[in-house]
Amino acid sequence: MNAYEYLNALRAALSSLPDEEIDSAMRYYEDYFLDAGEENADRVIAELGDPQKVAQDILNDYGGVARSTARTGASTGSDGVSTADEYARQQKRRVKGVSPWVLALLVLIGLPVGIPLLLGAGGVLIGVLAAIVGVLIAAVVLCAALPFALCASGLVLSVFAFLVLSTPASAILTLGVGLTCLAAGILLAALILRLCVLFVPPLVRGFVALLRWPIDRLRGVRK
Amino acid sequence: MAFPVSAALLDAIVLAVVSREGTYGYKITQDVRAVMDISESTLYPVLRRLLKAGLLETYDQAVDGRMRRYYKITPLGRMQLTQYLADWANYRDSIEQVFFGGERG
Repeated sequence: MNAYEYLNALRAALSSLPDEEIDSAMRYYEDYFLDAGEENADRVIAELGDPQKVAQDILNDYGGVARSTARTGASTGSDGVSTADEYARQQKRRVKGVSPWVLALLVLIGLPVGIPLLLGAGGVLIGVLAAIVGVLIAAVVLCAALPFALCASGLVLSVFAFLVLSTPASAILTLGVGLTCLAAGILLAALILRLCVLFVPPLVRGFVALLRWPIDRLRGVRK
Repeated sequence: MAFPVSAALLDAIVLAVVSREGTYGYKITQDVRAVMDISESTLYPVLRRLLKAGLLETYDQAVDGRMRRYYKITPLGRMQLTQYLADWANYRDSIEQVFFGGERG
């Protein structure tokens, strides 16, 4: 059998198909022989095998009943498994996966709603974060400023007491108030320092742990 | 090889081969056979299926005084290929997880 005879046999075996199906298949196999070269025609005929069987593969596929599993040529050479069962499985898989077109359409429809929503959510998030940072800064400033102000005013009052020694009663009252302020300031500063020592390291550790959490999770999945 | 090639995997491989450049039947067969052992008659039904699904399209080009039929990927085919590549990466990771366990970083 030469290439010409092989192609004729193939065309005859495909004759039950519509013309455009026959043309498409014949174009493929004619090109195939031409591209393989005349000197390889015998090898190609041997490898393609019986034209009846080549045609049967195409006919099965055309029937739609079969999406045959690909034959791994050397292993068995047996027919591709083409059962209704296989077909049903393929269909199920198709229903489960969303078609790319539908996905693109959904994205297109979603964009006008999604982008403003996303921007809004981002704005709210930034606002909340800014508020939290503001409160934290205010708290820190208050903690530092209050003892400092008390100490400063206590000192000023104590010094001022010596300027009004001419009226002893006022001087003693002023000195008393000044020293009380100073003492309160020092005590408050000591208390805040103590609280800082107690609470800042765990807070920082917690914050770091919070930041690391997503990264650890990613690593955990990899492991 | 111990592992049979599924229809979906063959579809994906052919899509990947054709996605690089417009190419023709004989060359597609050679390119696929370079990576796996399939019989020469396997490819046409695959190409036909991909054409029918709108993932590939054909055009004719003059070569050596004749018209040769070429196949090229469509935008839809590219999307499908992207999906196949993602599915493959997941599949490979799952299998390798079982095969090689926690050895990988």
